[in-house]
Amino acid sequence: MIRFLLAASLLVQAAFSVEPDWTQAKAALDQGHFEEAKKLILSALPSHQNDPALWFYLGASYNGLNQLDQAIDAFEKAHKLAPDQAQVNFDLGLVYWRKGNIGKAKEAYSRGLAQDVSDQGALQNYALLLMKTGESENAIDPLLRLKKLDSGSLSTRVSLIECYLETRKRSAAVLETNDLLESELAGFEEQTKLGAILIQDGDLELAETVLQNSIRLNSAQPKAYAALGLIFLNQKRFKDAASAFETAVHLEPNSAEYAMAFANSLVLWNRPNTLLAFLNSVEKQFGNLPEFQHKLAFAYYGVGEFSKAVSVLQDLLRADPPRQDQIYFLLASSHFGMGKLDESESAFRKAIELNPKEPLYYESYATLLRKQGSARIDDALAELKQAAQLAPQDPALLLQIGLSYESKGDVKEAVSPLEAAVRGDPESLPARVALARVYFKLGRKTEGETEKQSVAELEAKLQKLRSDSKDKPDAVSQLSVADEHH
Amino acid sequence: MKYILCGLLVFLPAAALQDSSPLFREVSPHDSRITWVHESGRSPNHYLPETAGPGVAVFDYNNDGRMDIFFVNSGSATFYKPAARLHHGLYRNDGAGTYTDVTQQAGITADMFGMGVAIGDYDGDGWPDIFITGYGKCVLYHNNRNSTFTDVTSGSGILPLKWSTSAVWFDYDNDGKLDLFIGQFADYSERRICQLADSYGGSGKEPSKQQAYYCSPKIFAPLSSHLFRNIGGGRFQDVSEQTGIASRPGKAWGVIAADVNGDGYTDLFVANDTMENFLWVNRHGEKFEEVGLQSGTAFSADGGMRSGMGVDAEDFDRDGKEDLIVANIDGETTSLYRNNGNEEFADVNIETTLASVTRMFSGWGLAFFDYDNDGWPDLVLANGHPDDTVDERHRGVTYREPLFLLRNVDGRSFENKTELAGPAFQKCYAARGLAVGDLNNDGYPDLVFTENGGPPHLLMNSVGKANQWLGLQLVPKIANPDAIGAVIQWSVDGKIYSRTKTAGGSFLSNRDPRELIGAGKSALDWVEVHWPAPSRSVDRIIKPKMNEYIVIGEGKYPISGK
Repeated sequence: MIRFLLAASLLVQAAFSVEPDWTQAKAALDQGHFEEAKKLILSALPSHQNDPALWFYLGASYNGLNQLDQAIDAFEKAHKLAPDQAQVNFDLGLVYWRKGNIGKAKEAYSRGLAQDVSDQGALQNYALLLMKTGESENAIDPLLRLKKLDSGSLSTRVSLIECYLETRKRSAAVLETNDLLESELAGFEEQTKLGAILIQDGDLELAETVLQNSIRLNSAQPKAYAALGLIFLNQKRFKDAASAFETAVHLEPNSAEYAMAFANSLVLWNRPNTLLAFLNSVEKQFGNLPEFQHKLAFAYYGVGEFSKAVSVLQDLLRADPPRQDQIYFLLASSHFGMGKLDESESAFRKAIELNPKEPLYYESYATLLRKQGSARIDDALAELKQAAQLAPQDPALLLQIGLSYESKGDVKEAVSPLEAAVRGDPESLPARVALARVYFKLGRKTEGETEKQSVAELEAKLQKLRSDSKDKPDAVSQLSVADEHH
Repeated sequence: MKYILCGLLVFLPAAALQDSSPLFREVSPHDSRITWVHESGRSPNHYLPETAGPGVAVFDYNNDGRMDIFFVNSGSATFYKPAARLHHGLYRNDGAGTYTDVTQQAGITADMFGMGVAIGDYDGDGWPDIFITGYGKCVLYHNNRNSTFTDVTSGSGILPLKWSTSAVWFDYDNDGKLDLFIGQFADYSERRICQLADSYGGSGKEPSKQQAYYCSPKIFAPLSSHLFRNIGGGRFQDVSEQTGIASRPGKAWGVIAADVNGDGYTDLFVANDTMENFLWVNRHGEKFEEVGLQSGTAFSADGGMRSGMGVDAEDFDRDGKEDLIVANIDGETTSLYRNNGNEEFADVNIETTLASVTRMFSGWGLAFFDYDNDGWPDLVLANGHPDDTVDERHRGVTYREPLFLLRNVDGRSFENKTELAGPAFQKCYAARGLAVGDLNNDGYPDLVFTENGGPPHLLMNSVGKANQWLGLQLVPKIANPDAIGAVIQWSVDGKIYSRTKTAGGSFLSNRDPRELIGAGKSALDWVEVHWPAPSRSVDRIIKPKMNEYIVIGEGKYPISGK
C-alpha cells in the first residue's frame, strides 16, 4: 500500500490538485476497503477523467477486489496518461501476471524496469515471472541486479543458483554456491533448504556439498541427513544412504518417514539382517504401517525365512494396500525360495496383471520358468520378449534372454543378447561367463578364450576389492554381523 | 522343513515310524568302542581353519579283509597350541562291530592341524599308505606291512603347503604309479582377524570384539593346488607348473579324480570356495586344461560364483558318462552336473529336486552310493554351516544341520528318504567329512561321518537284503596299484552298465576302495574290468557268484582276443 501512496503522490505532484474524494479513497485503500475506495474514485472520476492518479488508484481498488479486467483497464488508462511512471508499469505487470497474460506482464515489467532499474520488488517479481515461465536465462540479469542492490538477500542468491543450473552454467552455479557458503549468509537451515532445492534441480553433487556444509554447522539436522540419503540413493550409493538415513532416524526416532527411508536403503543395499533387526526394534511405533509390513517381508525374504515373508505378505494383501503389484512380486519370489513353483508362478502372473509395465516382473517370472526345465523355456522366452519391449537395452534382461536360449539349446540365438548384455554392463560377471560359455559351445574358441580371460580379470578385480575392504568399517554403525559376511 | 528334520519327528507318535524300519542304524560309541573326538581348536579369535576339519577314511590298513577307519585330528599350528597332545584316530575293525584304537602302535603320531586324508598304495606293494593334509603341514605315511606306518614325508619331495585340504591319489600320466594331487585353500598366512561391530539389536555398548566371527573366505586370496608326480622309490616331483595345475589359483575344498570324457586319462574336478570350480581335463597325461567355464561346471547356471565344498562323480543316470556333483553353502543349492558329452555339462539340480532339498543347507561330505543295491546310485549328504554363530542372526539357517538320504529314481530324480532313514537322520550335526564303506562286508554300504569339534558317527546299513550285489576287489599288476581309472562293465538282464573307478571325492575323505555293484533282483550276466593304461587289458567273469566279494587280479580272467 505504501507503494501506491508514494506512486500516487508522485502522480499528484506531476499532475493535478487533489480533491477531498481522493483523500477518502486513499484512506479506504489503506484500510483495504477496496469497494469503498472504488466507489469514491468512480464518483470523482467524471470530473477528473485525465487524472492518472485516480485511474491508478482505481486500478488498485479493482485489483484488491480481484476484478482483474477492470484493474487492467484502469492501470492502462493511468499508463496512457503517465507513460513514464515505472510503478504503473510494475502494477500493470503484476495484474497481467495474475490474469495469466504473461506476455503483457513481461512487457510491462520490462518497460518499468527501463524507467527504474533499481526497484527491488519489481526486479524480484520480474525475475520470478521469468523463472516460472521457463526463461531462466533472462532471469539472470534482474537477479544479478538484485544481488548488486542487496547482496544479503538469500532468496536472490538461491534463485540465481537455480537459474545457472537451469541454463547449464554449472561452473557459475558452483561459484555462486561456494560464495554463498563462504559468506555465511545462509545459516544451516537455509543451507539445508538450498540443498533440497538443488536436489529438485537435479544437481546432486552440488546439493551434497551444500548439505554436508550445513551438517558441519549443525549436525543435529535430520532433514539434512535425510536429504543426503536421497542423494545417495539416487547415485546408488546405498551404503552411504543407509548411514545418512540411520542418522536421521537417530535424530528423529519418531519419524515414520525417516524410519521407512532407512529401511528402504537397507533393502536396496541388500542388508536383510540389519533390516530385520531394525524393523524389530521399531515395530511398536511403526508396525501398523503397510510400508513397514512390506519391508518386514523383504527382510524375511532376504534372510531366507520365506514362509514368514509369505505370511506377512498375505496379511498385507488382506489390508488392500497400494502397489499390490510389488507385494505380489515379493510373494512370488518368496514362494520360489521355498520351491513352491506353482504358487510362485501364480503370484508372478498377478504382479504382471497389476502392473504390466514393469520389466523386472517378466524377467523374474521368466527365470522361474527357465529353471523348471526345457518344457517351460518357450514360455520363459515369451515373457522375456514382453519385458524387452519395455526395456530393450536392460543388460540384466538381455542376460536372461541369452540364458534362456542357451537352456533351450538354441545357442546361436543366445549370442546376440549376451553380447548386448556385456556391452551394456561390461562389469557383469554372469554375462561374461554366459557369453564365454556359448562361444565355446559354438566352437568359437578364440572369442571364448577372450571372454574367459575377461572373466578372470573381473574375478581378480573383485577379489582385490574384497581383500582390500576387509578392514574398513561399514558406514552403518550397527550393521548386522551376518550382513558383514555378505 | 528344516526344523522338522532336526528333532520334530521325534515327537511324532511312535506309530508313525513303526511301519518301516530305519534304513540306517547308528552304532553308539559304547558299542563301537570308537571314543575318538575331533578337536577343532575353536578359539575366541575364530581362526578360519578351525571350521574345516576333519576328514575320514575307510580302508583296510592291515589287509585282513575288514575295513578300518581313520580320523584326522587337528593339532599344533602357528595359531593353536592344544592344552594336551591331540591324536588322529586309526581304528582297526575287529570284525564284530567293534573297533580298536591302534593309532599309537601304528605310529601315526604326527602333530599337525590336520584337515583331510587320502589313501593310496603309492609304492605298489599292495599295502595302502596314508597321506594327511593340514594347515602348514602335510604328512605321508608309508605302510610298513606290519600294522605300522612310517612318516616318510621328508624324503618324499612332497612340499609342505600353506593350507592343504583334499588330496587324491591317481595316475595322471598312466605310467602305472599313483601320483598325488593336493588341493590348497586360501592364503590365510596373515591369519587375519576380522574387526566387526556388535550385531544390530545387541547391547551396542560393549566395545567391539577383535574377532567375534569367522571371516568369509571371499576376502582371502586363492592359492594354487599342486600335483606331484610319482617318480618311484618313494620320491615325488612337483609338476604343478609344467602340467598347468599351478596356472589357476583356487580355494580348493573337495576334489575328485574321474575320467569325465572317457579318453582313458583321469581328470580332476575341484570345488572352490567363493569362486568358480575347476574342471581340469587331462590332455594325454602331459598337461591339464582348465575347462570349468566352458564345460558349465564352474559357475551357477546364471553365471554366479558359489562356495563349493564336497564333490563326487558317478554315472547317476546310467548313460555311460561320468556326472559330477558339488555341494555349496546355504542358499546356493547342491549342483548336479549331468555329463552331456563333449566336455559339456548341464546342472539338473532343479529337475532332479536336489535344488529344493538342499537350498537352505551347507553341504560338505557327500557320496553317490547304491544303498539299496537296486542298481541306481543314490546320494547321501552331510551338512553343517561353517560359522558357529549363524544361529544368532535370524537367518533361518542353523549351525547344525541334518543329513540327507536321497534315493535315485531311475536316473531322473532323487526321492528324499531322509525321514525314513532312521533316528540319526533326524538329528542335526556340524558334519564335515563322510566316507562310504562296507564295514561289515554284507554288501550293503555303510556310512561314517565326522563332526567339526565333535565325535564321529557310524551308520550301519539296515535296508535289508532284498537285492543282489557283487563286490569287487581289484588287484592290478601293471595298472596303477589302486586301479584308478579302471572301467567296470556288467550286464544285468541283457542291459550293459558301466562305471569308472574314481578316486577322492566327498570332503577331505576317502571311501572304501572296493567296488559294489547293485543288481536289484537279478544276477549279473557278466562283469568286466577294463584296466587303465598302461595295462589296457580286460578281465571278464561270466555269471559271477552274487552276494559276495571277489578278488579280480589283473590278468586273472582274461578275455581271449582282448
